Formats: sequence, structure tokens, C-alpha cells
Amino acid sequence: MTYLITLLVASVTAMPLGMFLLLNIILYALSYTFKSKFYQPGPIFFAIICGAMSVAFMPIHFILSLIIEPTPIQDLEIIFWLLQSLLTPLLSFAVYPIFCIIDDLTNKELPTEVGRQFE
Amino acid sequence: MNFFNFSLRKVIVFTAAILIPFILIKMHRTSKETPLVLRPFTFTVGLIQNAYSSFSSGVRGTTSLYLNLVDIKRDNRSLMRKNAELRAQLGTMTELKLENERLNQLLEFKTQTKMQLLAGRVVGQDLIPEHSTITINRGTYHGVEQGMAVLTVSGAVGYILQAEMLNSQVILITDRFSAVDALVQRTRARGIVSGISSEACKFNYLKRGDDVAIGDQVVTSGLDNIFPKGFPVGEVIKVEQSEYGVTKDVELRPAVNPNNLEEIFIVLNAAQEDFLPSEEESDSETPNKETEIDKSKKALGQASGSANIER
Repeated sequence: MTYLITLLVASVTAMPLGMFLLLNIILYALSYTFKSKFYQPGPIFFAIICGAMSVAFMPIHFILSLIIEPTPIQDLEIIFWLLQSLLTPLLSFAVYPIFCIIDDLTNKELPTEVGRQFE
Repeated sequence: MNFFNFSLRKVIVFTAAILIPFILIKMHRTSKETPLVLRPFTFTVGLIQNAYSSFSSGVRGTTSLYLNLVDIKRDNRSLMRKNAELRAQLGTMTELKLENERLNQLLEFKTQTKMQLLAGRVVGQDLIPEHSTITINRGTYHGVEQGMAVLTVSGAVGYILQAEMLNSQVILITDRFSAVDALVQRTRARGIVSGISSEACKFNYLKRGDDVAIGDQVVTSGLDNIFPKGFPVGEVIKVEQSEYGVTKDVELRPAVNPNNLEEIFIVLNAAQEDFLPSEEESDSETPNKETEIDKSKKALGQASGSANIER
């Protein structure tokens, strides 16, 4: 899913594909770690995860740009970052039912307790 | 027989009852004033009539006021709705008028230059704000190739980063990965313009001894024949020189505001177009002689003025 989202979004941004993929993999790893520790079923946890990842997106992008790119980011769009962090959790409530439908179609059972998915 | 057996009182009363109306009729015909006998009655009746008239007119007034209010409210709602519709129409007309003016400027610019231009429209922006790119509705199907210059009547916008079949991605001059060869119009000092943010660019590789001042216009050099020569890139807003560095730190304000882009031109062929006034033309003894370049610059200046007003 991470690769698919990367390919879809990469067509509308000039960010190099490799860097964008690395960024998304780091975000996926962070969200997976967070979920494995603090999972609660329901849209609220989903909104918290979405908000946390939108907050983490810019710092990770900035660090990767410093390490990888020959001309790193010089001007941070702080206001855009704050707006993104506020709006993403709000919009996640609208997106949550779509993902529930996808889970139903793929017959993926949601874990009810933290750690059960590893049994 | 009791015919003659009558009382005198009854006779007198009967006679008075018969005679009094005739007497009053006689008095009414001969006198112009109200008879004294009738005056108390007419006065009392008058009072009652006045009181009733006042009361009924008050009731009529209140009733008609209420009925008028209902009509007024209905008319007010209808007028407000009509007003809102007219305002919306006015907004649409104003938008069409502005678009018409913009398109006329673009057409005038296109007809006055020998460059081969393809008009396009901005349909999208980069999803990530740290990258300054836009998507336009022209692609390889329309003859667009990677590296072609993109500009507006106000100045240089950027160049084609990636060309797909029907759309192309344009990297703006405000992107940190862009590089446009430019020179200072006044002193001809050359350098490379790259982006810092959506509101500023950097003019790199200027030598320490190059003469650059705040307010200088920076234009394209046209050496690669991608951008036409002398096309506005930006204006110098900051000049810094470190104590031991070999280059100057110069910042520019771009000539085109990337947030307000709607219509653009893709330069299919720059045709060695030159917007830079040569030294011979600037020292000309006939300053009133209007050359093709002056006409184009005039069109650019007029268009820039109105584009600035739009911003």
C-alpha cells in the first residue's frame, strides 16, 4: 500500500521518487510502531495516527533533504505545516469509512487488542 | 253612546301631536339655523358620530398596517433574492471581463513577438510546498518538450521539467532546483537564478567585482535560446557581500507571482528574440522612433501594469 500511494502521489509532485518512497516507508514504520503500542479500534485512533504522521512529515522531509539532496530545503513553510497538521485529522474522519469498506472487501480482521495480531 | 263623552286632556294631546310636526316643518322652511329644539340632539349625535369615526379609522389603520407589513415582507424577500441573483451575475460578468482583458493582453503579446508560443493554462500545483512546480494542460501531443521555457507577459515563469502526453510539469524559477541563466540589465553582470522560496530567488555566481544594486532588473541572457534574451526574471531586493567570499549574495523578487498564475506561454521556439535594448538604440538621436522591440516592451509594460493590478 505504501508503494502504491507513493506511485500515485509522485505523479503530482516534483519530489524525487526514491526520496519520496523512503519518506513514506519511514512514516509507515513510525505509524506501525505507534499502532503496535497504542492501538485502539475506532476512528479517533485513526485520526490521531493521521495527525501524528502529518506532523512528522515535514521534519522527516527536511532531515532527508539535508542528508540526500545537493540543495537542501532552505525555507520551511511553517504555516502550511500547521494547517496540514490541523486539517488532516479532521478529514480523516471522512476517509475512515472508506478504509473500513476496503478492510471488509479484503476480509482483513482488525486486531481487537494490542499484540493480538502477532498471535 | 260614548261618542261625545270625551276628555279635554286627550283632545289637547291629540291636537298637539298632530300640529307639532307641521309647526316644525314650517319652522325648518323659514329658518336657516338649526332649530333650538334640535340642537341638543344634534350635538349629542355629533359627539357619538365623531367618537365612532375615530375608533373605526384607528381599527382600519391598524388592520391595513398589518396587511401592508405582510406584503412588504414578501416583497422584501423577493427583492433580496433578485438582488442576490443580480450580484452573482455581476460577479460572473466581472470575471469574464477580467479574463477577456487578460486574454487580449496575451494575444497582443503573442502577435507582437517573433517567438513561436503555445498558450496553456495552469491546472495544478505541487502537492508538497517545498517543491515549486505547476502542472499545465499542454503536453507532447501539443509539441511540448522537456526543457522548453514557460513565461507570461510579466516575465519568466520556469521551464518544462517533465512532459507527458496531455500535461506537463513546469519547474518554477522559485524552486531550489531550477537554474536560469540571467544577467543584470543595467550592468550586464551574468549569473544563474535559482529559487529560495515562493517569494524570493537567489542570483548565484556573481563575481565580487560585479556591479549590482538594489532595484536592478534581472533579465534572461538568452544564450541557450530557451528563454528569449532580455525577458524579465526579477528585481534585486538584497545584496550582501561577505568579507572573504569571492561571490556576492544577491536575492531577487521574481517578476511573476507564482501563486497567481492562470494563463502561460510555452516557448516552442525563441527565434533569437531579443527584448534587451541595445546600446545603439538607447543612444539613438531619434528617441521617438518606435522599433519592434519598443512595441513589445510597451505591450509588456502595459500588461505588467495590469497584471500587477490583478495581483
